[in-house]
Amino acid sequence: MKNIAFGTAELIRGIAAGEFSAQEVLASSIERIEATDGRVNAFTGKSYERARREAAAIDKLRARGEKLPPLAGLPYAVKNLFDVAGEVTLAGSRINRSHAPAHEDAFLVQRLQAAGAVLVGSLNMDEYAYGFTTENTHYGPCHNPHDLTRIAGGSSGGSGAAVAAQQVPLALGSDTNGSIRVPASLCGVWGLKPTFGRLSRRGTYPFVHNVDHLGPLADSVEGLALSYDAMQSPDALDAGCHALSVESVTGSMRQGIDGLRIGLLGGYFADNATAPAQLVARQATTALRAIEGVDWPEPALARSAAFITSASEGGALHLADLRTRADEFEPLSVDRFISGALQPAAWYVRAQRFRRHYRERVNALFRHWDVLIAPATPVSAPAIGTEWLDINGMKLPCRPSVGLLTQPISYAGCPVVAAPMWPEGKTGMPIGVQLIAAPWREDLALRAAWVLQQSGLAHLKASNL
Amino acid sequence: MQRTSLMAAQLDAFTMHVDMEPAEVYSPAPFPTTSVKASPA
Repeated sequence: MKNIAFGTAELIRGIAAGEFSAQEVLASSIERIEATDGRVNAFTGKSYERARREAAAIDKLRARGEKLPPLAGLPYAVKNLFDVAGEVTLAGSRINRSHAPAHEDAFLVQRLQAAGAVLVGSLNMDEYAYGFTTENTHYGPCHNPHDLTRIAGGSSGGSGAAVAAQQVPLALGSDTNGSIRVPASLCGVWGLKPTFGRLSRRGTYPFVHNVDHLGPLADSVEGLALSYDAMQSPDALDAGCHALSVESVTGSMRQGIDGLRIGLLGGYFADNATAPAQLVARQATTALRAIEGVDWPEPALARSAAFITSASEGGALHLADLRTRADEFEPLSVDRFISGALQPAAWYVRAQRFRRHYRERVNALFRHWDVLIAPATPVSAPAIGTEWLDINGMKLPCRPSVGLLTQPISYAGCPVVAAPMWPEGKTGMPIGVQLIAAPWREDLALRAAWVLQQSGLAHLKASNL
Repeated sequence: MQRTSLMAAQLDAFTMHVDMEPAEVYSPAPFPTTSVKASPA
């Protein structure tokens, strides 16, 4: 059976035109999940009954001749830190299993439902979002659909893998230090980490209040833009939601890049990238007519400050459980949580003081540039269980180092599109490229992404599942 | 230090839900008051 549940633009058009029903699309998505997820392990929960109700409602709308909402019939799934009414929000943990089910959907799930999207389930992740590999001990590792022996990246690993496995065309994830961009890069799918404060986080399980972002992973730039537009809304009930109005990007994304000042980041972003990662960044540079050799301000310090902030806030958030039931935590990250909880307050305060200085320097850089390019990960997906990476002769611990190139950017809060690139051409594993814009300028990153997609360099590739 | 640790214990005993955010949350830049973006095609 042809997988009609995949390909955002074609799917939305086909449902609207009556070529297939939302229920047929859902059936195709479910069939694909059931056929492949025993090997991928992207899903930790399935909400098929709810999905059938939502799809049937879309088909009734169409049968009555009513105008369909923008994502009508689009199947999607969410990282399991999003509240889903009636389900327990696991956040990748064993501890949360004893929590009460959520009494309502997360804000962004409500937005997607209103836009006609159909929720099929919840997705695997690193425990409490503290990781880049989704080697989850409680629920099993998530496998990369392009090579099942390799990681999918994390912490939104299930989100990247579900889209790469063509189970759903859209998934939601969270990104504190790279948790959308890393799995997008390693699974070869599109990802959007919006500006910090753009999308409401209400109804999601937090990791670091001052750095957590939410966003989509999708099969195409259209998928990112349509879902992002549908999710935008001010929300006074999230103290970290700073957006005051909706700034739609769908209408402007095809405007091209004429007049945009686009540069390639050098220094830290080249030194910490292997040859294939540097190659895809240079390919994007050529396609986008970018200028090489732009210096990002103090990236190593920013990464250190992001690391300290995450460890400290994350450790503090879980302090009560760390004191009484540390043996129930993920063994691969519990030491980082404990050490974070024990960090001196002076480290955290110093990181916050640096962050203000850093914000000013990053915003000053964007007075001269519209979009900046950098690899998303230093390497392609490592094998599951990898302990060490060799990055240009440097031996670095694998699990924290996969986010070397994403952490400095999210610490500033800039919007980033991760574009799926293929350094080995028709064979081999993907590595993503970050397209970075000034705060609140997602529109510019998506315009560059659209051009990269049109060039044929950035795209999804069918897995051999 | 002993008195401070008592104060910290008081705060520890105060129930905080995970979604209780800090008093001030980081902002990367003020939200633009007027959009400079191109109009939709």
